[in-house]
Amino acid sequence: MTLTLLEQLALAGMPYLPALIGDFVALFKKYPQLSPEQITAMVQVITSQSDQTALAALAEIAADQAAHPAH
Amino acid sequence: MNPTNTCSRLAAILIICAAVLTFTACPKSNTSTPPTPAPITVSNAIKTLADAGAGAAHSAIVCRDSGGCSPQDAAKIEAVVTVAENAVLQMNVVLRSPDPWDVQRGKLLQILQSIGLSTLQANVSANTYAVATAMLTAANTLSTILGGPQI
Repeated sequence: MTLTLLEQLALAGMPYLPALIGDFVALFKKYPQLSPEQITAMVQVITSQSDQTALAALAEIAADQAAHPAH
Repeated sequence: MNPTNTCSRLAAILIICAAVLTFTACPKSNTSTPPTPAPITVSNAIKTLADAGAGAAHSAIVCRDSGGCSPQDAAKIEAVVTVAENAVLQMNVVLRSPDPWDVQRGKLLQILQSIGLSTLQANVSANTYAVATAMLTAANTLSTILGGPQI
């Protein structure tokens, strides 16, 4: 009797099954993507760090050249 | 047994099995990671170039002070690093600009190629050139990412 009920439920749900499976597949494939604002923020942070590195290197070179003017 | 009934029963069993498998199976682990956006990849490559330039300048000074490099060669490295670090500052300005990525990419390539790293090897001794190889590698990596030629 229970099996018959299950059969009826399965037959009734058959048209909806592909869409349901599709939803699950889409859910598993979904992953977080960076928004344009997040990308801009990350670029700001990284470029700021490399600016500091570049300025420090330029300062070291300037100091060395000041200390060794003959070179 | 009615054949239509049997077919319905078989179809129902198949659907039940499919549903059970769908709902109970472990989700397949998604090993593919989303690609890093180009501006972030390029920012990191420029940071690597800045680090390599700083390292080259420092190494050139140490090399000269320890007698491993001539003062003239060390000065040439310092000159190239000065150009490279200024190029880093310019490229960062481009990256922070509101220009579309394709426009930024063209400007970045132009700035990178203006550093003149390709002539360095011919102008300094092998010892001195060795301190600058990381900078050349970083510049080549950046050029490749931007779709430019090898330096």
